[in-house]
Amino acid sequence: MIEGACAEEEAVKVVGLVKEVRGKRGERLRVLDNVNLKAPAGARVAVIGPSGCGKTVLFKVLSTIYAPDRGEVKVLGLDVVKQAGKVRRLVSFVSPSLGFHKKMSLDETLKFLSKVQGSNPEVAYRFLDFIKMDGLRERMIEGFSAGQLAAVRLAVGLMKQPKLLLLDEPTANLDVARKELVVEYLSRNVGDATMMIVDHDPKVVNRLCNQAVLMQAGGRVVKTCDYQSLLKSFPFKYRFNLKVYSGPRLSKDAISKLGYPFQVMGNVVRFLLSSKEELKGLVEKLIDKKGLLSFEVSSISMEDIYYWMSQQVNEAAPSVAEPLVGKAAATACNSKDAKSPPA
Amino acid sequence: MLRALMVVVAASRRYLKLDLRYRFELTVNALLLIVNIVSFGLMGHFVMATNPELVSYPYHLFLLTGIFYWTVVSNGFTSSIFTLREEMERGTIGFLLSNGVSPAVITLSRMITTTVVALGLSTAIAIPALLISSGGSCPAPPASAGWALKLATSLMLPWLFMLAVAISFTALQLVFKRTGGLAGAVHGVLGIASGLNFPPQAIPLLGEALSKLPTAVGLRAFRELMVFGESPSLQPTLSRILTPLTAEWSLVFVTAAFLAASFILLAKVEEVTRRWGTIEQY
Repeated sequence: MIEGACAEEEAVKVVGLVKEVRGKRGERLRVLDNVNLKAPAGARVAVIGPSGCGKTVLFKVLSTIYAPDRGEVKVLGLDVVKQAGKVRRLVSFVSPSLGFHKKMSLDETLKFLSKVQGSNPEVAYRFLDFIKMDGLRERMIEGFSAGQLAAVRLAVGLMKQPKLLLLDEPTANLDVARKELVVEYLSRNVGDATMMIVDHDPKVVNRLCNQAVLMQAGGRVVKTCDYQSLLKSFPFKYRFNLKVYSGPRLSKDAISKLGYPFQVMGNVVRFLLSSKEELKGLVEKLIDKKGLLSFEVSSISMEDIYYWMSQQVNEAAPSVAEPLVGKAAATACNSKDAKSPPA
Repeated sequence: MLRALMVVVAASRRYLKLDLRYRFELTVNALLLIVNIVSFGLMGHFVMATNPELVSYPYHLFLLTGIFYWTVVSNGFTSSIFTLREEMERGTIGFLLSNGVSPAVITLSRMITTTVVALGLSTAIAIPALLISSGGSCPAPPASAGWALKLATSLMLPWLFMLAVAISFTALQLVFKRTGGLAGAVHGVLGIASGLNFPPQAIPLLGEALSKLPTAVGLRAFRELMVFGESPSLQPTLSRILTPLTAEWSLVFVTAAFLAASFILLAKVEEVTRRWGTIEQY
């Protein structure tokens, strides 16, 4: 037990965090603007936001790589500035920018990094064995693919057995099968550690997280909440996926005239509906339309909420999905929740 | 502290393993050392022909002992500059920082490894060259354990001084990322000022002051020990060490002061660049 570490509710407490970075010619660029968030111990927190909104910088402040300019940042009750040394022993930051020397083998690399961390490399090997990357101990790092390197980075982060695990796009570059194994491992083996994760795959976030922090461009936190209350307060209950023929068989105007909020993703149109009556109404409207291949109805999942939230904060960044349109979109954008500090 | 030491040892071993994997580079370094020895030896003969009073013993021995000394004491400095840059490019700095490891550890580890390799190469090449060129009289046979201790002191304390310079450059690199030819220039100037090519006392105005540099003190003592078997210029008694501006005082206190100042500078720069958000950028 590290002296001063708080063995109770809050793993992360951020109040009024402002972080500016120095740009060219000394000008200052604000990347985190009055960020407030709390993560209880043992939470699994998804940090969601468009590229460039400050998610990685937030992780770097929590892992003491950057010092905050203003505000209070505490990890497990320890101040990241005044007690940085203690914080570093408890936090592990898995960054996609971590590189390895190509002329060293995996075993040599993990042994060296374990000495740096003061950890046991066998923990990393257990993880690598689980995700079917055993038998690579003596292979040189230069022979590893991008996906394998991503797995090694994650192994290095897990090797430390931290109290706070910060994962920055841990499943990027992983193939589908390995991604599934990684998610399974993380969901089962992180123990009581707190995990904060940035990942652009909503399925990963859906499986691993029970809390969400929503950030927007400019480094502001828009909303923090747990998934249960998010599901309850989400204005939609059903997802209606409509597969259409490619080509101009069903125009956006025609879809829009149906009167329900929708997103177009390739040749799939996703409607979000708030009741069974709306569901019936939509089916009746579609029944005579041409250009339809199939449709599928299911309950709302975190994946839908993830897309929805991403669309809400993605003010400037381009998206694969078209913006949500329709009358319910206006009521669903609950501006009262925006920028309020968490309870 | 103990963990920092363990990290230094682990990092030094890692750099040694890496160095041994780049055999071409090792071969080139050995060849360059041979070329240095031959050219300095030849230069020594030519210079002696026109300046017979420069030193009281053959000038080529003056130069060759200087090469040995400077290779061991200063090669780590130049390699550490490149290594920090490599680690920055590889994105390792953020990982090291978040695990409580300072960039100073990279510098120190790299210097240790390069010095060990340089010592091996120099002993294997320069000592036989000295023996052959002196007709068996140099290096002078060790008279006592005191000789070995003085020899070690004449190498180690100046090495720590060069470590201080390297740490200062680490601080500079954290701010400016690339320092261009500055490291090479400093290395070259320090070599000349320390007496690599000719006694520093020959430099007008600054000669006496420069001869008090820890590297100059160490080099003079090293030469005397190798050529004569004793070092009149270095008598490390307590009274001489505590007397300001003596060679012994300079070797101990100037080195200690520079080392302390360099670590303080690096700590300050680390704090500032963490605040700027530029510490692990390259």
